[in-house]
Amino acid sequence: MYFENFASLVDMGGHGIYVWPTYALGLLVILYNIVSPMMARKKIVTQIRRQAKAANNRKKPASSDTGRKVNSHEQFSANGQQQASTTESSRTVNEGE
Amino acid sequence: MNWTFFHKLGSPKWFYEISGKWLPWLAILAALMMATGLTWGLLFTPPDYLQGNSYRIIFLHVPTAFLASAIYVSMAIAGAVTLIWRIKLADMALKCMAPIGTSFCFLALLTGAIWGKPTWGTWWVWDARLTSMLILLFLYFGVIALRGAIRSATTQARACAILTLVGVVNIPIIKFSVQWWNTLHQGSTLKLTEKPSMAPEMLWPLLISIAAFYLFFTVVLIIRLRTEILDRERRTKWVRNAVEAGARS
Amino acid sequence: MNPVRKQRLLLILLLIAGVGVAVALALFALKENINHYYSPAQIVSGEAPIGQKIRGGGVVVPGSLKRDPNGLTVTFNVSDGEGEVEVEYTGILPDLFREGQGIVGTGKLDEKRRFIAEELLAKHDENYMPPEVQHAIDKAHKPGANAEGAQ
Repeated sequence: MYFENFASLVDMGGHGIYVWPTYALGLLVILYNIVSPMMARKKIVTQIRRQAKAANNRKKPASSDTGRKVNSHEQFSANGQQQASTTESSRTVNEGE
Repeated sequence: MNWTFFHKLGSPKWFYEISGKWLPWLAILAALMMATGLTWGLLFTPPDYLQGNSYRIIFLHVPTAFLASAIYVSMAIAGAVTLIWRIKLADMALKCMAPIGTSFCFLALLTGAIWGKPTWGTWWVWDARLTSMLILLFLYFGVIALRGAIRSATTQARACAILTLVGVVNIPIIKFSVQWWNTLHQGSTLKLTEKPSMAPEMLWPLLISIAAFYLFFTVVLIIRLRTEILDRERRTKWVRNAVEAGARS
Repeated sequence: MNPVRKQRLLLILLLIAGVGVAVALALFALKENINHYYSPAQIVSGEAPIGQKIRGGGVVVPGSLKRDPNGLTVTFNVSDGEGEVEVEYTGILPDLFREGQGIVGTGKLDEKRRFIAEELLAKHDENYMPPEVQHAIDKAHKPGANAEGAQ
């Protein structure tokens, strides 16, 4: 290591007061970029699992009211995004070509 | 030209499956490179003849600054693909890149300001380089805010793509600002066609840090994109199966 | 390429080009305001206005630094190889202020075209090297003199 002892490592010739807070901020930004996506994923996965469970529970009663199922799916869509239809494929959607 | 490959690239399911296999390895590699580059630079390099130890900020400042611009360019490309080919995955990518780019742009400005105090004698100056980077930060905020303000998915996609493309004019300004105007910020140390004006014992940890941040960005993007795919494709069978299978990452 | 997509691509390129032209024009028009920086040669030649707030700078001429024994006022000369200007500054000099290094300041010119700086900042170039390398370079450039280098 360039620095000979802990004191000089912290002080860095007077520049420690600039370098260490900078690296602390860097660490925070790196951590944000790890934690935020993982939290978002957890939230979405739990949401989807809950919806799947609710859909299964609704399937159990004998009624085959497919119309109603479509509506409650749209209700759950968290981002308010309009999904075109439940039969939409997951490939590219060429709109209005 | 075989366009079917290109269109397969746009399949969220395909991307989800492929990225799932690569992700752990990329993440480990990114972590190793980041740790190596930053520790080496912070602790094991000699000080600069002129700036002393404050120059160690460079190992955070340069990678994040490079990435702030590079991510924005990637967003512009994704925006163009969204507008021209209407590929949903491109819009998802643009959405996911934005917060990452914003955080790096923010860090670049902050680390630069802190570095400026002991070197130039000021936290901030309105020269062309710093001002154009600040404009980049505002563009990033703008793209994120715009998405939140629009309800319809297609309008969101198009509006954000257009805003990103309009702002991409700022990128060459950032890059050439130190040549076109008389700036306090110095010129480029790393150049494409010339030898870098940095001693090798400092240059290697810097290059490793830059590569590490690019890789880190890729890993974070993949994680965010996978979640976005699950969200938007939640009504498909493959997503239900993937979620039930207890997919971790 | 599908003609509809080709058209969209063209529209995008036109959009970017349009914005680019608009920005370029704006920057060109504002050049005077953005670039209120005058080099020593420009100050000497009379291009720079007197009494108005401007930016000026140059390389500190070695041996020109004089400190006022009573206060924090210093005077020194800056040069760009073509002109030399005397600078007066009251305040703490930036850490990186060295003879032979660049500075940039904001302030006004007095009637004698001396630059009275209100704010002084140190400029540094894009070179990074350890002190030993700098000493070696200095030694090589001044074979007879003491290799004090930039310190």
